[in-house]
Amino acid sequence: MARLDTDPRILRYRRATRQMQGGDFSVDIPVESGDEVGELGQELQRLARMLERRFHEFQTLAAVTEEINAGLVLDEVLDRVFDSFRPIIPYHRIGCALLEQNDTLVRARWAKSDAAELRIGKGFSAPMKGSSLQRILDTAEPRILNDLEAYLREHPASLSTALIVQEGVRSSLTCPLIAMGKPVGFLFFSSLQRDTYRDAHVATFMQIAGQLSVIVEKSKLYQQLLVLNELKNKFLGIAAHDLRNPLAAVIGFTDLLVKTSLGPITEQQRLALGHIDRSAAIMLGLVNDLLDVSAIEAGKLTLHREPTELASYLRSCHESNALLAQGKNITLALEIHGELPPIDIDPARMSQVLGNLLANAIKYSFPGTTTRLRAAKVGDEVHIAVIDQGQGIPAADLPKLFQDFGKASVRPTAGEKSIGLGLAICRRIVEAHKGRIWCESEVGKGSAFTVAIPCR
Amino acid sequence: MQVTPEVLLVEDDEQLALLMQFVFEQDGYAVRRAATCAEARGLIAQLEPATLVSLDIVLPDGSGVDLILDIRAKPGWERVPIMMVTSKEKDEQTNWAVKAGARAYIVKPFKVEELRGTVAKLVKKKTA
Repeated sequence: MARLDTDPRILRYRRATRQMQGGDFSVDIPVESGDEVGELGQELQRLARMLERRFHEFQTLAAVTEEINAGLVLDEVLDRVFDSFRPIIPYHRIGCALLEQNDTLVRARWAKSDAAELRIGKGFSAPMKGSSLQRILDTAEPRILNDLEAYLREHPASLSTALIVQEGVRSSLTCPLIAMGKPVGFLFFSSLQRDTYRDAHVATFMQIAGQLSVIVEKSKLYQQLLVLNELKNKFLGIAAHDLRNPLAAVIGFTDLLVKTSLGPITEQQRLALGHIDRSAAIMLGLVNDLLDVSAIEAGKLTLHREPTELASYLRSCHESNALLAQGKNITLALEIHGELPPIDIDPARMSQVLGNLLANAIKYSFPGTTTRLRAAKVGDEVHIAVIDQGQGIPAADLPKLFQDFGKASVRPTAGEKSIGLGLAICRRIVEAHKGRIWCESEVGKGSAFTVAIPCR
Repeated sequence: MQVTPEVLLVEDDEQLALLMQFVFEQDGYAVRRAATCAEARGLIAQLEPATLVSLDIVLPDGSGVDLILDIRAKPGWERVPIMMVTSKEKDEQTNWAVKAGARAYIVKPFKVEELRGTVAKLVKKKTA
């Protein structure tokens, strides 16, 4: 018998052990003479193979779990992970069914198969009452059926079994999906071969069952959220639309009075009418913003892009906003650097963006300062910037600037109104142009809002 | 022969209709009002061709755009100028209205001068 401390095999086994400790299981220990040390070597080799298998299984599970968690919609998640399960559970088909109507009905939600056509597809439903699935829910334990033809002979009334056997399925592993302690549905693994499933597959499934069940819940909530969001947009659109008619009457009648179409008015009455007109104008702006947001959210923002000569476009944009600036004793300067390339924009929508940025700059700046409208070609883009010498925006406010109702903590300098939708609308319009919008700012020095639009 | 020029005013908002009627009457038009598509169709069926139709796009029982086709189909009304009153510029509906035969549109809310100007242009074009 060889002495342990001099036997070269022991040295090799030690090396192999260290290799495995480092996460590499590809050790290869040759079969050697059948003494006890040789047997130890074979045991070590078997252990290495098992560890390797478990390690891959673990990696697959982690990947599947990650894929599941990244998804929001059940069908998409299942589509994505259909192939990922293969290394850990054998199957030719996976189906998913969810409980409905207070758990009295089970309805097929999703199925995918390598084999022939699906006999039980999306929408197939069966009552839970009298179904053998009930037992799976009651015990929360997966069920293995390794001979479905035999099962069908014993349960000839089971329509779902009859259909699945027609698809060619011979064995199945049915797993309950339980989210937050409540059964929500089933996942069916099916194989075209008889006698496919073992208890080890059940154990493997149980490791991802939790995540899958949570996805079912997440998916339901997500669908509800989509419906609610659509409802919100519809509501916003209708509300804003219905506000325009009374506003039109207010603005129109005020106008009639101011123009003295209804008889002479006193100076005091004229002032009062001015207040009514300005308030109505503010309300109109608000209504327009709400209409814009709801239309954009509903995917109804259609750009009417046309080739635009930027320099003259910007000059007219500057002209139409200069008066607003003058009213607050702010200088509005136009700076065009170099040649600007021709560009395709929706002029009305882009004017809305620039008008909004300029109005903001004026709103948040003090009299006596200068606001610049600056344009230049930068790489493959045209950058149009509105740069003010206003109060600046605290760094903490910058990330929420372009979100809906994302008002910053700074206040307009003359009590002007803001509801915080303007920049969110700007962002959407710019993005619809495949462009970008961002803000750089320093408190006490001013802000620069830049719109970058790709050249043609 | 028509002595007083007449406007068929189709608008479902009572206050706005009153405002527009007031402006039209100040400018010497007789005004016939309809608040729904059905009322408008009724008036078109029984009236002599109007000088102008002012048409709201969103009506309680349908779209003003559909009414354009009815107006154009009625003998004598084929060339009556139609002005759409819309809530939104460059709206899909407005585009359709222009394709269907509306000659002009104004966007709510409008200033009185805008309404007067648009109407004057349309009517002048027609009589010219």
